[in-house]
Amino acid sequence: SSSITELLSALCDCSLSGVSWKRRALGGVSRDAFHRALKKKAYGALLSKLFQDGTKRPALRPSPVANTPPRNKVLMMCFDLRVAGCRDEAEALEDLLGRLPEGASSGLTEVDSVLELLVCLAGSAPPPPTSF
Amino acid sequence: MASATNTNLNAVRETMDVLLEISRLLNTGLDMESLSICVRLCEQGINPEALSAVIKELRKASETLKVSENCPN
Repeated sequence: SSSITELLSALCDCSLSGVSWKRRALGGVSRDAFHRALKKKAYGALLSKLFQDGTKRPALRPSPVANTPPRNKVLMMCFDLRVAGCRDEAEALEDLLGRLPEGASSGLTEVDSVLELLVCLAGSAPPPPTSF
Repeated sequence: MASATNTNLNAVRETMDVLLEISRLLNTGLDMESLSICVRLCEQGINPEALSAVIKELRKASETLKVSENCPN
C-alpha cells in the first residue's frame, strides 16, 4: 500500500513514458526537473478541485446528473452509443457493466469511484486509428 | 487463510480486467498501469473528479513536451 504522494509520483512517471530524455538532456530539460514540474501541476489540479468543492455556493442547484450513480451514467452512455448507431459498442459496454462485481465481491473498496473516474475521462483520449 | 487471500486476489484481478475493458470502450486513454495507480488513489479516498482533472493536466503537460520534441528549433 503506497501513499498518495508515491502514487501521484508514479502517475507522473506514466505520463512521461515515450519521451526521449537523451535529446532532452542536451536541450537543458532534465527528466527530474520535468517530473517535478508535473508533480506541481498534479497537486495544483488536485488542490484547486478540492478548494472548488469547499466553496460551492448553496444557492446553485446541483445538476441532476451529478448525483446519478456511476453505473447509471454508464447506462446513459450506452443509450447515447445506440442512438449514435454504435450498437455493438453499447452492447459490449452493457455486458461489461453486468460483469462488474459490486461491493466486497469486487475485491476493491471503491469500485464505484473508479467507474466515476472512467466516466469523467470518457472520450478524453484521441480516437483509435481506423483501419481501411 | 491463504485460500481467502487467493480468492480476494482473483476477485481483484477479474474486477481490474473488466474495468480496463470498460476504460478501453470509453476511450479514457488509461493503460493497465495507470488504471492500477488510479484504483489505488481512489481507494485512498481521492475524489474521482479531482483525479480526472489531474490526469488531464498531466496529459496536457506531457503532450506539450512531446510536441516540442518533434519541432527542433
